[in-house]
Amino acid sequence: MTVVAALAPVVRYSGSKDSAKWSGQAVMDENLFKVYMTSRVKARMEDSEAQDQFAAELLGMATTGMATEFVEKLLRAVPEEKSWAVGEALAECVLADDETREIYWPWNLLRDRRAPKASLPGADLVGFCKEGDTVLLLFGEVKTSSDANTPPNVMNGSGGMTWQLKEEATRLDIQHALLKWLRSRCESVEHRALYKAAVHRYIESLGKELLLAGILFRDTEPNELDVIARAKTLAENLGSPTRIEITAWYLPVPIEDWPALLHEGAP
Amino acid sequence: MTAATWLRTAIGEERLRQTSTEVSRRRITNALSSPSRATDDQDIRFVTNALELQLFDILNDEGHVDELRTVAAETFRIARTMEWPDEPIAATQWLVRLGCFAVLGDRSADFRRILTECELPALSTDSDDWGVRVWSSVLDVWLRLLRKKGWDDLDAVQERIAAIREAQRTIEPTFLNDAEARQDVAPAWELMAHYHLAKAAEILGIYVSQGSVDDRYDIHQQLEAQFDRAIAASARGQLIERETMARLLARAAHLMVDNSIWTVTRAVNSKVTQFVKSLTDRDQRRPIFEMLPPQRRTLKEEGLLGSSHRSVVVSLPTSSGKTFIAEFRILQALNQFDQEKGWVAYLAPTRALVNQLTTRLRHDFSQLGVVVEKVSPALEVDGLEAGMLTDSNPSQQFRILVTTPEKLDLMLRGGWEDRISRPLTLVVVDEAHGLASENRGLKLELLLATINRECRHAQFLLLTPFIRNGAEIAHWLSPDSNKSIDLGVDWIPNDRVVAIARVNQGDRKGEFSLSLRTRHTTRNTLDIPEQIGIGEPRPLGLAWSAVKNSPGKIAATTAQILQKRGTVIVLADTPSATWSIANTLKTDENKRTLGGDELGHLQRFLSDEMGEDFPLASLLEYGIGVHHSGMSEDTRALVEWLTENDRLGVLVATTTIAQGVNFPVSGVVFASHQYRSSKWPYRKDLPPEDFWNIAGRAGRVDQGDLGVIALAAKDDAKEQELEQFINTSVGELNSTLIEMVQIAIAANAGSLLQLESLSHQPGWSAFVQYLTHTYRQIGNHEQFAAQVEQVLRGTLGFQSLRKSHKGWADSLVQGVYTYAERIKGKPLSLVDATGFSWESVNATLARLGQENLPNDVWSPELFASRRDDLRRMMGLLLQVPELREPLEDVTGGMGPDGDKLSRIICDWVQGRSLSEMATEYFSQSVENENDEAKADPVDSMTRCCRSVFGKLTQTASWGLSALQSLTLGSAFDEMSPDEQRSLRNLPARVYYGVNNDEAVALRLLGVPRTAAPALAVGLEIKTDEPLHQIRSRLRAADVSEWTKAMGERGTSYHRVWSIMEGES
Repeated sequence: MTVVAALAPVVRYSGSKDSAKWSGQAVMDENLFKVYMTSRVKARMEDSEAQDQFAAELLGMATTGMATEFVEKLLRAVPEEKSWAVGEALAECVLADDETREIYWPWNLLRDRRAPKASLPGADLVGFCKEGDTVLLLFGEVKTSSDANTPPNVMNGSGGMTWQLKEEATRLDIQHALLKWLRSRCESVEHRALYKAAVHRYIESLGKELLLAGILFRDTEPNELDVIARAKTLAENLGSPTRIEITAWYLPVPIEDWPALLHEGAP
Repeated sequence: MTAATWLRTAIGEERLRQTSTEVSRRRITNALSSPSRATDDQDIRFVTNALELQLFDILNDEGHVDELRTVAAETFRIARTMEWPDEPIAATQWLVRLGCFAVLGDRSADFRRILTECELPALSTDSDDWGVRVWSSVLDVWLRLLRKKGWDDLDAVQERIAAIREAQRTIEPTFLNDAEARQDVAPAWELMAHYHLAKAAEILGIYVSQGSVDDRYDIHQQLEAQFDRAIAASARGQLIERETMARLLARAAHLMVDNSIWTVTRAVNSKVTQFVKSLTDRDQRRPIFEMLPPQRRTLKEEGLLGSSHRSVVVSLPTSSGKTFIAEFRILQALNQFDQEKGWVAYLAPTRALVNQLTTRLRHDFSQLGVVVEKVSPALEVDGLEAGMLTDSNPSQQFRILVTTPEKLDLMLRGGWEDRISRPLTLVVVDEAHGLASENRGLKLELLLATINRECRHAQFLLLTPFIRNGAEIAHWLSPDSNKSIDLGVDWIPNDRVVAIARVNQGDRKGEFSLSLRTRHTTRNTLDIPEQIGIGEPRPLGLAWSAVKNSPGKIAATTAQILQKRGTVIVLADTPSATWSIANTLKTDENKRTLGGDELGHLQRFLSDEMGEDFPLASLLEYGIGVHHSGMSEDTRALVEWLTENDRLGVLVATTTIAQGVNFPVSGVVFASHQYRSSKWPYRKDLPPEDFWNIAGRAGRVDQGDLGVIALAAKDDAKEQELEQFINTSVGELNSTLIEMVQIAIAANAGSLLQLESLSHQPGWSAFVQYLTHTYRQIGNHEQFAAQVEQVLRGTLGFQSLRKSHKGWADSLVQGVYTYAERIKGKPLSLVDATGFSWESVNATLARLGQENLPNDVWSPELFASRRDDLRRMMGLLLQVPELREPLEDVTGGMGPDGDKLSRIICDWVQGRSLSEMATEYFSQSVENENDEAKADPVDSMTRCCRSVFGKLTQTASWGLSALQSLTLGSAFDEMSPDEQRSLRNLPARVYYGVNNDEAVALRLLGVPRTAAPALAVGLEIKTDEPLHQIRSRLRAADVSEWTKAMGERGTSYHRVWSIMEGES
């Protein structure tokens, strides 16, 4: 069971079926959440702030003999999207702060992370989960929703969390691409050891033994219906040794206020 | 544990083994077009992906380059059997990835073959969508760099990139505006990554073609800068696949630079640079941009190019380009002794190989002005050769001399190094495993020992297929400066299958089918557990009853099926077996036309040379060639050319071909795996070196896929025997001296070795001649006695003998002391001049005294009006132990018959046709089923050619030359140069079968015997004309001069001569 002391969540529901586990964690203390967001999450996000520099890249590009002006125009015209990072940074933080196990994101700076989703339907989260001696690959999807319906729309259909998790679990080509990509980000001794241990399990199990984490952030009333049907469906499709964990977080600050919260700093 | 073994463990050995078998199954069934079980790619894909992870795990780990190579080779081997994606961009991405595996795994040649055999995906390099156009172009240029199909590919790389640059301003803005409208920044990063990959391709393309980029050589750094930026841009754009592709390409490009001929040969010397420029020249039909892995490893990593080792043994698999390696070593040696105009001796065991190598070296060195000459294997130096060897004109002086070991031995012992008056600087020995051959091995060994002792500047390069003790051999020739380069069986030029071919009875009457059972071998050949059915039932229309007990027919049917994939060699043990197999293959379905009127020319030549009904002429119409010792040398050379140039479907040859030719084919079928001889035990298994040497010809470096080696078995017992044969492992290369000593000591019951009583045996004759020569060189009995051990240590055999059998070695030393006493004070120069032992010289001198030959015996009349003198000479030669056996074989072995021998020689020199000679001298009546005695003309011709070309020309010319030395003595040196030349040419007339000096010159230059006399008249060849001048005139003469000289037939002969001169 997830334990993130900094948020002191209350477990509102939990259950399991075969390979799948699910739970609903409600954060009751608004202040705790705000502090968490403005310190822990913000710090993680700020790693990526220096992202909009591309002068060096353009200079480099000039050595190819190609004109750089059109590319430069586009780079200047379109600011890099950051909104994705809020939910994902929060997800990374709550996963990493889970005291029941060790979660590792094999990059030190968020900007190295650049989750690979542009050319592939990749994963929002890629990392390792260590429980005792066991290290597993962790692929995760993050959804944020204020939808009053339960389950919220983001859980359903193509592009929804269930579909994406299933894709991540069954598309060997995606996993393979992710693992090659991940390898070059695991240069430190610690990360390399995790990579070896996790990939060993993954290969030995013919691509089955991995942890799929679905994180749903809600600013609504906790309701097991948000996740239970989806978790069960995944369990039917993805048997052991694949592990599925869907955690819904019910948070005390409306989602639409999060950017302001982060932008303005402490409450 | 090695770096990435953990991934291997995770995949599991059993899974890897299963995958490997499935991959082999796919390759084999695909190559043999036999039905296979349908399997999907899922498992193979998973294992490929897992191996690729292993590859990525050590991609940039400089401490694990060997492991990276092994993993990449394995990944490639498995991945190549997977289906390509349908969509062109996805398919090309896959191919580029596969190509990178190939480069990293040293399997580039395989990858190129895959691309040669198929159409490349149709990429939209002119798409209106700029993103598609750029990426398609980038993929296209990388695929071309991986393929490097001549200058076309390298030019296309530059053109494609130029086209992108030109179109950028027109098309890119619209493309990026659309992205801006979507607020999508990714295309900017994607284009940036692609432009860097394109620039890297451009840099690599320029480097590969000219060895520098903008006069800079920091090629690795230039490439790394581009790849780093491509990787960074991919990361910024979240382009996971581009990023990993860029990482893979970066590593592959790094290796492609290392493999480039420019990198391997950089900064050696100007001759090498000049040579490399000529190899990459735009005029080359097949420019060479890249070294094969064994060549690269030998020249660079093992340091042969920069090496100062005096003795080097290069032991590489067949078909891995040993000649090419030798060429670089030759240039180095020539450069080293450029001022002294040092020369290189290139030794090959057969006339066919001598010719092939001469053509190759002349071609390769043509732009460097290095003169390459060959001398005939005849054991005398004729007048023209003498002129060529001593030519003082620097621009005509040969720098490389190609010949057989026996000829060089004769030359050196005859003082030719002094007469050449330039130093011998390097001896290249091709097929050096011949050192262990029963008949000729010791001569080669002693030749090398002599050179090592006497030629101050001589260095050695021995080229062999895989042997175990290369280091020992290298050490023998130079204990303090040697190197053995042995790549073992790690690298093979292409994948191969060794299989047993069996026939299985069908359900219907007479029906049968063929199957192959692949066998596991020590040479990384492919094998699968189940047998594979090949071809349709009843190939060649044969019936079960005809095939079931006939290895020849099993081999013929196997070849019939395999020849659909390219030329197949079928090996049989006797000439008659080759004809029988060839006739089995002569069916309507094989009827074909040889291009143009070529077939007509060849048939006309064959009819003149071998007789009107010689079956080869009609077999050629079916794409079938035959090759054995019972054919004239020119005929054999033509058949070799036809095979080499893909004009034959099947070549049926005797197993002896394994020793002497060098052409790639797609398959080899053994009807027999044994050599036959006329002496007990009559048949002998091919030594494993010879088996793997000929097996190594299966599969081609430039085309074809899988080399197939099949051995025909008629029943289980034979199958078992063949399996054992296949698994006989290659042993050490040992001197034959050891066995000779062992036998002699056993026969002598342990008493002293009396060398004089052994000297009638060929091996011992060679040995005592070596002693005599060295004795003569030392020139002082006491000194020789003091140096006996030292002299013996110069041989490989004695070195081994001392280690393994000290007692025998001591006996040998004692025997040598005694022998030295015996030859003390004798006219030993005659031993060197004749190639006979002192005992033979002495006995022959005594008999000459009794014969009392007239003083003017040495005239051309010897072969006409003075045939009786020739008869007497033959009588003498028949008593010389060194010559007796081959000469007796010529006359049928029924006792010495000098008269018959002299008649045969006269007819041969007078130009009588082979078919007439066959009928007159070599026909043997055999009773047919009606009890009628009848001679088979083909049998007669076989005996005739075996005698004439296999024994007579060589032995009789040697014998006559020796008699000249014995009768003329010092008188020869006092003669005028013209007289000397004319005398020297008399034995050459016997060697070449022509009756004047002018015709001898043309024969030396490859003109067929029937054409030489007439053409010599037509071209007005002068007796005193130097060889190079005659060669130039011959080359300049067009077909009309041939027809003028010999009528309409001249056209055919001109074509035949062109072929034998190495024109295709």
